[in-house]
Amino acid sequence: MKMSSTAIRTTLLVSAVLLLELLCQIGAISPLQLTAPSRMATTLVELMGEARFWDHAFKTIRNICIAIVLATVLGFLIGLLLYRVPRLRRATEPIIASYYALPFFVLYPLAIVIVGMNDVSIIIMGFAYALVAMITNTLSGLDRIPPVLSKTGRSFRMGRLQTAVLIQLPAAAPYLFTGVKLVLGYGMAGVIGSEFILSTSGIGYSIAFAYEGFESERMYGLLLFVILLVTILLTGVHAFEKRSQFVASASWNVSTARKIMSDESLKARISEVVMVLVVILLVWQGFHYLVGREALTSPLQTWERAQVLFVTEEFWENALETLRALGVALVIAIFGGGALGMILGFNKRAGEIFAPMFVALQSTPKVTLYPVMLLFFGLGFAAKVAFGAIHGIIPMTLITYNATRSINPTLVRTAKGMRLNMLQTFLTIFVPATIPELVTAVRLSFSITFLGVMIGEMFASVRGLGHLIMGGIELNDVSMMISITVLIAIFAIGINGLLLSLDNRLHRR
Amino acid sequence: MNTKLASYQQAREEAVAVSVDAVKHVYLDTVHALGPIDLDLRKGEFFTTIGPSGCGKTTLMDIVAGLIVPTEGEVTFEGKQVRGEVPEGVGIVFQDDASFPWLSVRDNIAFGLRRKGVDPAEIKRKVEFAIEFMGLKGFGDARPSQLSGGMRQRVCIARTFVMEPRLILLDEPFGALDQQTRFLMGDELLRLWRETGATVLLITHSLDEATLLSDRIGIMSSRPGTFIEIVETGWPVERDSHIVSDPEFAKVTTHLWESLRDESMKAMK
Repeated sequence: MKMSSTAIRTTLLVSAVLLLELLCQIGAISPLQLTAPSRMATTLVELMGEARFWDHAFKTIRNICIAIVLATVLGFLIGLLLYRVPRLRRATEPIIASYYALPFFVLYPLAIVIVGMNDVSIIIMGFAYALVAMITNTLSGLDRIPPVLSKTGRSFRMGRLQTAVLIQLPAAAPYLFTGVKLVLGYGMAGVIGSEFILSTSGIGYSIAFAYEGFESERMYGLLLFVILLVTILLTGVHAFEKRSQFVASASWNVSTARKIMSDESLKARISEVVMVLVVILLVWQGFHYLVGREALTSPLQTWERAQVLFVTEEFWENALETLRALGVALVIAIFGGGALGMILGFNKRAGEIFAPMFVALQSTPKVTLYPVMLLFFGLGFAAKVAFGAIHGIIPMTLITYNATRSINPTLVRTAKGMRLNMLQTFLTIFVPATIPELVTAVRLSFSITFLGVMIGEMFASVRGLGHLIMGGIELNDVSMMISITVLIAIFAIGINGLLLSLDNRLHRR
Repeated sequence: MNTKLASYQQAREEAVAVSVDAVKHVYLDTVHALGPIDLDLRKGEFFTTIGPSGCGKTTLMDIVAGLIVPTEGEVTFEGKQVRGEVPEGVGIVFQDDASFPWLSVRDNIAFGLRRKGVDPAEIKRKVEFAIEFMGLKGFGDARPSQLSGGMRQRVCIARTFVMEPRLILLDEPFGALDQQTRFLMGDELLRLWRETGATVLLITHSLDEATLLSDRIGIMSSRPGTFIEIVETGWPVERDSHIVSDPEFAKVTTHLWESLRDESMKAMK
């Protein structure tokens, strides 16, 4: 009898856990690197008996809930605004697309100055990290409402509000739910990550404390708690989604927030970009006045510092180190993810078994894996490459998988009809048919890999731009921190802008 | 004499459901898509428009529906001007699947009735009747994703017909279906038309479908579309797909093709 994909997947997962248990028990894996799964579970049970643990846990859970509710509501509203004002959307698109490449932890000192060193700054971090996921998914959902449904609303003589509430919102709902799921993942990563790096309370802090104190078992017990927490929250959203009847036809979605815009004059586009730049500079200057130089240097002060900093040899050594790490991580993420996606896409059975695992990994806050990475790779080049690659490889795999699965079967039959061999079919049919989606995948992987490398440099390295930013945070050298962040932002937005324009061009074919 | 003229005018207005008067439409100031067109749809008649691709059939329907405001000319429905808003009493079925995937078949069909504030017991009666009538029995609680393309289109037709519109606009509603299903759906459409006594304007590419269903068929030229001929089929009201074996059916279809052939060639150039 043929086993179902779910049964095979469960069997594989259980086997992997049992194998891990065995390797740990016989000492093949050092207990300093990895704790046996059974020990993780018993440690977690022990931890749950401690009042201190629950203090931290409740704080973290509360912060996560507030951050994700705020990000969901505001993300939806901003998405709606951008949808309604296409010019604003076009002008801000490269910034939104590059958002997840920015080392958002640099915002933390700013958040502390604005609201103080308390839970609110942690909530701001979770919110800021999750916000854009909701914006992009809201846009994706609204873009994909079939025009015929809106026309149907008019045929029933419905007003704009009625059409929006009764037709457009339910039609976009599957994407909104995907947005909520991503918000959950990012919100958790933002809150736990901030606690891990910069706070003195919460589960993230407890993990960091255990890691620094070489309490490996305690650390893995806490990581298990985080994994259980994310599983429970995601299951809750999934159950609600099923009950509410707005289930997406696709079982997963990595939002690209891409919309094919009609060509506009170069002059109009330049004026839009200039307008956005001016607004950013004004907001920046405004915040500078509000919080003072200690938290945020002005654009002019940052420029002056950049002129001094960017000519030093030390800076360029660190910048080259970052580029090298990014290059290696991107090669692993793009080629590894692309190959994995194609294998899963071509082999239906393998896809059914393994694709849901990647979907789950996509929603899991990668921050939980950082201590594990550190234990395995130590501080240095390998760790930051690994950080970058684990971020980028998952969206690359999923988008490639989806692109491969959705190739028009008639094209494959045409190739067979023309008696093309496997290589010819691959090169002349599969590659051109999937290339627009692959470019989207590369664009998203670039952003997220870059973020992974930056985080790796900030917390697991003694070189690179991320390390310099971390130094800035520790020494309260705000101008250095901000000038490097702006440089990174320009680099990320520039590359993203190029990939975005290529992406749009290919999708317009 | 004047009284006679007035009563004649009144009788004419009563007999005409839709009047299209010198309607012309140009897209983006450059693409002359349609017209000028003059057309009267008689109350209770089944009128079909055929024409080469891109001749402006759908534009004409959208103008009659009030979804598009024509560049020139005027459309009236029951004597009132139609402009930028779908008038009360008009139902539309589109070519694309417009079933709401988040609602069950029953809720899809009840959608318009609920918006109109119809009594729930009345909604239930009408919806159950429509489900039975459209051959959707046993699928009331199913989602559109669980249905075939033909069944989904039946849901959309039922959703429009339960509103009891006096004018029904159908934009290639069977475009995505195979020939056999099209004929069967055509029979159902004819039954519904007879049942409701509504005026129907159908847009189609299929000459067979036009011949089978229509009282009159308007043949349009290539873009900018105008009517080059209007053919009366002379079918009795009580008709169904059995008439395809009638020698007259072949004659009408052949005539349509002969009238349309040159226009289709022009459209391809």
